[in-house]
Amino acid sequence: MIETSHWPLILAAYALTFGAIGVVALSVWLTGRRRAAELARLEAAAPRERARAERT
Amino acid sequence: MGWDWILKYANPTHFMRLAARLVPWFWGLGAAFVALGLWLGLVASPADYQQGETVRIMYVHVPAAWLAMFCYIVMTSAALGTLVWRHPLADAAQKAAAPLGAVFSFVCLVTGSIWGRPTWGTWWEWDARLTSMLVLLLIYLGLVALWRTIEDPNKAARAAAILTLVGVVNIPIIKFSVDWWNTLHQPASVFRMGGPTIDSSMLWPLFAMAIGFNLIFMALHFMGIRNEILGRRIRRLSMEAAAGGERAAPAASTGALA
Repeated sequence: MIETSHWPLILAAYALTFGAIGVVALSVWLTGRRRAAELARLEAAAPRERARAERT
Repeated sequence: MGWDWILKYANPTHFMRLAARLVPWFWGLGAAFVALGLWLGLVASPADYQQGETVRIMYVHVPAAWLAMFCYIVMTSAALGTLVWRHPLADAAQKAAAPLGAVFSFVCLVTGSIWGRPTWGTWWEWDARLTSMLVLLLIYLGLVALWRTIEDPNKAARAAAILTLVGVVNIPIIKFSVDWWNTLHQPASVFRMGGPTIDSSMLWPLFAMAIGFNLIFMALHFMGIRNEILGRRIRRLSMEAAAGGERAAPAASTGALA
């Protein structure tokens, strides 16, 4: 009987698990960074927006 | 008095501060437990006398399955928070949990399939445990789609909460499917009456990995909730800016006419 090594399947399972977690973590982190930058931009623009509204 | 601390951290601003402090700890401890689980699971633990080396797939498959179900329980609690108290943090917790649950369900199904091929001789079998787990993945994907379809976040939160509460019936079905039906999937061997049937040399890597996965889930969930709070603030400021622009535009045109 030929003995088959199952290590490629084991490594594939581990790679898929940690790859999926890594992709989600990266996506959540990038979304957070983008939203924090967007919020900072809007908060900086908000006083100008209010001042413009008051002038007109 | 006893509930004051919950009310304090239910405030989004306080939650943001708490999350900023806790998330690095969750990541650090989660990575340490996963590293321990990897060493115990791939190096220190023995091969199974029947399954051989493929038993090592269990150390990622089982924690992913537990987490997929735990995530749904978290989402159900948040759904109750949305429907009963209409709390914005509960909405954010629901929304942030759905994609994480989908990922862990997917990991559970695929790693189970990789384990099933050498052990059962098939990649997939329509047995009760596998099918109910697939239903869980489809519910998560349905919830993610629902959140993306409805533009008003309050309406989306209520619709998602109702779907979540309907779907919670699937959790006991997943857990007890191996007892209620004659399945190819083996019965419970860790959380069962009479204690675990797994040898401690395999139980420790499983627990180390499960604790690591849970800490990583908590880090990702807190980051996701933070992202939702930021998204709501962006939406509110954008609407205020748009409303300010609309108010300013007629005033300017009136001035030009005068």
